[in-house]
Amino acid sequence: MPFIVMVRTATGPRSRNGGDRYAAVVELDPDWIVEHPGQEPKMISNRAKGVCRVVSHTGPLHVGKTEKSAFPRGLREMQTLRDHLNRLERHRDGSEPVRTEEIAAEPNAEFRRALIEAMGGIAAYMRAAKAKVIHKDETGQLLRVGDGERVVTAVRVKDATHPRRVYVLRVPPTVTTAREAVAWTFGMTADEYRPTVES
Amino acid sequence: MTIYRQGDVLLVRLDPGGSQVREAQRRAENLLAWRRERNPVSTDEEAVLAYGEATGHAHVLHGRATYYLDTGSNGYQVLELLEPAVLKHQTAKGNQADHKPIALPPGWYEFRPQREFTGNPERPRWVSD
Repeated sequence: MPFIVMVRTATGPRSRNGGDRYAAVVELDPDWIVEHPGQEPKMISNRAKGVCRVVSHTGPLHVGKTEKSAFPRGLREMQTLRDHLNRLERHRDGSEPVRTEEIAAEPNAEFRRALIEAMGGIAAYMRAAKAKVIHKDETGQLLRVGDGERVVTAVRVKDATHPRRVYVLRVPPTVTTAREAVAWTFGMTADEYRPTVES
Repeated sequence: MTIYRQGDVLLVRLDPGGSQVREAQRRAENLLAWRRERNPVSTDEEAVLAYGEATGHAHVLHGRATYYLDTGSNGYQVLELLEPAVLKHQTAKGNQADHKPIALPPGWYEFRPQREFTGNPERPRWVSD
């Protein structure tokens, strides 16, 4: 897996008493993994051998035995991010296909977007998830998958020159009509969007 | 509002005495004062408004126009057509691509490329074919 979590003791007065540690998600260089199986880089730095980039880190967090200790929470956050990124990597290289249920259940909007891209784009997702047509007019069809905060909305538009050619664009979940959706893609309101000439 | 649309490109005709034109001219003057190395206004006979990396097709405006760089509202560009022009969708070899040409009368326009929602309302993505 190219993404790992690394943990180090932070430097500073409190750290000398064993007080602070920090965790980081690091992307490893694929060639380095082959040459050094099972090992981790010497330090958390973009300049360290074997490190492609430091994706995210917690900063110094207090280590303690009480529930108020911040480090275990920070470590869990880094582990979750590592699992997400490794899963996304497996989806992208095709070793694990993306499931529509997985996208619908993903609470993080940014990861949901990345999963949709890994599936082949919004058009592929809408098709696979059997999106419902919630509104239709001369500008196109408004499609919706999911509900609540995890809803994904898109508009299916016909090409003005080639009516058989259609394309799908993702739009904010707040839009309610196909015209409003197409207008949003051009930064307009539904009332403003009345093309005089279209090709 | 007069709107010309060619695929994922939209041109909105602006009122010459309107606030958007005045704002673009004001910003161009301010930018010119700040950025001596680059003129924020350029006049071209032919300009690519949008280019599709996947297909190699481009929306090309044929006709003398003044482009007010980085001056439009919400990231949109303002331009002034100095003569009748034609917006063509063409292939890398210059042949007509998917969309028919659109004739445009002289005047002020705002160029609006199509955008797509990404999940983050602050960061929409420009559509490219």
